[in-house]
Amino acid sequence: MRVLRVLLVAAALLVAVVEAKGQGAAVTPWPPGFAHAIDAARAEMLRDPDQAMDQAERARDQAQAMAQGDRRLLALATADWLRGESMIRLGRGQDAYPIIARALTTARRLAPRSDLFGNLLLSRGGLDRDRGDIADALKAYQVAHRVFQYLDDTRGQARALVQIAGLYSDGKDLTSALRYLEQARTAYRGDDALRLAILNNRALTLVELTRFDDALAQLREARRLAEAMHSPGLQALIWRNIARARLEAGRIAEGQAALASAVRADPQAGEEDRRALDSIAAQAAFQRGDLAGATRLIDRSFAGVDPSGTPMTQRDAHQSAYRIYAAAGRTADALRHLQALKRIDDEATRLATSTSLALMGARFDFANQELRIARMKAADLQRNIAFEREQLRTERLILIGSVAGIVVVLALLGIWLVTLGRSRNRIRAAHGDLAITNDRLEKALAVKTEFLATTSHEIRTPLNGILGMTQVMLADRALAREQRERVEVMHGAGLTMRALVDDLLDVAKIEHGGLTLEKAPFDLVATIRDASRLWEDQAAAKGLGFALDLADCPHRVEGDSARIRQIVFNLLSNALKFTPSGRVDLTARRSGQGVEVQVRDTGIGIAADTLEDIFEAFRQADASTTRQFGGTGLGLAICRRLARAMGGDVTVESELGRGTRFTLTLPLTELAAVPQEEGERPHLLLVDRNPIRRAMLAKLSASQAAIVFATDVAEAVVRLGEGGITHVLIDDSAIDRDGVAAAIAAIRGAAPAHLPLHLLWPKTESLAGNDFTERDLIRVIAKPISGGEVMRMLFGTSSQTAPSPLVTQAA
Amino acid sequence: MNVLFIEDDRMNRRVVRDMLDVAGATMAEAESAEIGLEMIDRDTYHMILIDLRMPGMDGITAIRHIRARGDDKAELPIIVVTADSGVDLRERCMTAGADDVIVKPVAMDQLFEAIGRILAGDRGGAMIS
Repeated sequence: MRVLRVLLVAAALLVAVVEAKGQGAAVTPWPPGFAHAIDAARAEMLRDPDQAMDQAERARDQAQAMAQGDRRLLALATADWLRGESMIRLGRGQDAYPIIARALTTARRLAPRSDLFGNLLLSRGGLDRDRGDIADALKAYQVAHRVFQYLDDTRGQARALVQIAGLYSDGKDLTSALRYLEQARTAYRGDDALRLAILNNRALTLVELTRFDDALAQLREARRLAEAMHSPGLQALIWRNIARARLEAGRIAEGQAALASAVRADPQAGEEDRRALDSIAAQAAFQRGDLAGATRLIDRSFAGVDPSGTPMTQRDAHQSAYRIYAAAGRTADALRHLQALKRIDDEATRLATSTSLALMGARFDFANQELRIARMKAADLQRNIAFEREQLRTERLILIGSVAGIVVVLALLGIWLVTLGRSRNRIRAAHGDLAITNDRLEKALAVKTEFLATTSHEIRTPLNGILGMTQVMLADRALAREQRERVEVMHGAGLTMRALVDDLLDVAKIEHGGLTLEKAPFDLVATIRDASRLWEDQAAAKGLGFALDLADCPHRVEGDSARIRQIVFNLLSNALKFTPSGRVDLTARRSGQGVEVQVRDTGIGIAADTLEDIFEAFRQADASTTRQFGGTGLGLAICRRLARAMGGDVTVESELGRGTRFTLTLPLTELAAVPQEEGERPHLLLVDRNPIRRAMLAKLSASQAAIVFATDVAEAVVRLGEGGITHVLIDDSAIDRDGVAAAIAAIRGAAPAHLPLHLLWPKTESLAGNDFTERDLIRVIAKPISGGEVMRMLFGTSSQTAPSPLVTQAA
Repeated sequence: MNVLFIEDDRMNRRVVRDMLDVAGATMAEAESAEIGLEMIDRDTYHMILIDLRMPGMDGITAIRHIRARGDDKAELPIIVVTADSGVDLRERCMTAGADDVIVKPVAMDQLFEAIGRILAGDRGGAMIS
């Protein structure tokens, strides 16, 4: 494909420009050693990626040695970006992926408005594109564009736009590709190399659309730029493209002239360029009627080349060769090139259809009528394309089967040629319709995002009324049992509804790149235990076996604990939902680059052909599942996207009727364990009925002690019975005025004999008639009093040394 | 403890009033940011709760007004209570000067937690009563 070839050229040019321009000025300069390694890595990137890799590793070492803090993390991310870029150039995209993902997380958190973040997004987009995750690639480029827009970096914007155009080119949506290139051109005019790449890309896309005059106008401008840049290679390239365009337009003599200019521009052209020139010259000779000259040139162009293994960039050359050999009667050669042409076209169609579908799939699949209609139309068009391809394939079979007699073959070739042209036109027309449908989908998507944000706000408001009142009612101890049960049902339904709205928003956030990930140390074992707790009870209620194996699971890791908890919670929820009998097991262990969590069940299983569908938003294995099991089908979609956002993945294996195994992989770095002091920390029992004061006292004493709560005397007695309490603070709210002495006696009886009890009591209220003996060890603290004072009385120190302003309050 | 809740929706005011009642706190109400600012001028509160989207002046602007006061009241603890869920919501509120953000539907224990935490801090005065 021409477009592809040009994009390759464009990519190379872009990188060259990155290197030439260097880094945008940082606010504070990096330490010289680090800065030097970074610059060296950038300079070597295109010439010698191995060298660049060494320099990037050195930069990383330098960054490692910096003082702890955000700057160090940013330095590490910068070094990782260059390491990732080097790996990509060395063909190690797989290895680069987790590195870029990690750096991206850091940059997103610490510097979401930096050129580092934009550059990382461009790297990530390229990796996603190579993986076939076209939707993710598109998102990455779009966010990059936004970042550069914010930075007022028009060059960065143009780079992102060129990449987006590339995606649309892959998807054969040439109109959209052209639109993005035009935007790129308007956005940025300052850099000749980038402008040249854009002009060249635009021109060749226009040739594909048979808009020859427009294409030639672009190429003229590109040629002037190439001349101004004094680059013989680029001038020759542009002249060759001019020649192609003119020949394609049937202007043979002018094409010939352009070829001569190409030779003049770069007399010392390399072999690759000479072969390209020969194939165009052959085409010119052929169009001119000079069959002998054409055959000679095309022979030379393909001398020593095996046509069965050529890249897609050779499509035009193969087409010329096929035409020339067929006309010259060299049928065997003609057939070889025909097969190459077929192979390349098949590959291109596969790429185009999968990319088109992915671009559409990127759209958040909301149950929205307009979107559904558009989708159905698109599916219909895809079927038409598949049908046409099938027809072409059949025709090719007939063709090969007839090689026996040359005469027969020649006759068939004639017929085939006509059919081929017709089929192509039909495919082209179908792709045109597809472009229109894509456009409509894009508009529908924008409307839907807006709709979603508004709806979420509008649902949360009444939900606040429902859940607010059920919470208030459930807090009332006097509520009769039957009433309580009814309110609990209502409350549960409200919570489910809230979870649904949260899920919807999560999907929207992930889809539009608005997801932010935390990075902080946490205990993975505790997080998984916490996420499992609810499901343990549910499994028991359903009569299912349920076991956690965390023997080889690291404790302290760095990452987003809330999001990891959400994934594990969702995977378990899913496993329990679809397992009527048997068991559910979770194993978490260290593996290769990080941690692997497996959730296995003995449930209904998933058919092989719907295995990947379950990760799509709003999809369950089949529609009847929704009716039978309920749920939105959002959980797994969120799991996978969250995992990928963290540089990992969620995969699934299943056997229908036997069970399913989900595997979550995360590139988590294990941290050294902190020495456990928990055993030596004081344990404070806080007996207080008022939730606000409880939270306040908890916050005040958090640095001094571990806290155990009780809301009344009975609960306090139970907590004391469990042992380990070293300090007791009782607020008067927990004590019934009718039985002060009895309450104190009960707590005294449950507490160790030597332990003093601290009692907060209002200044204005007398404790007369409740004289405690010295043996009771009661220390009364009169309120109001500053929190610092209370801490001092409890622990002998203060958490707040400064005298607090006296604000009276009746909490 | 006396809280002022600035919120245009009557139902939401009622919900939070009943919740605070569970914890023994009283609540005054303002149905717009303009009225709320006047009430802060006139009366004494321990804490301000405020919605973001309101007709007339919005919550963020109101918070900036409070923080720009020349007197002690500029340091009043402020908690945003909103149904918004934008990506940079928290950052926006904190930059304007809020102490915490609670997203509707309000979880009661989360509300108490937030209030208690702030009361224990510098702005809250850390007085036990």
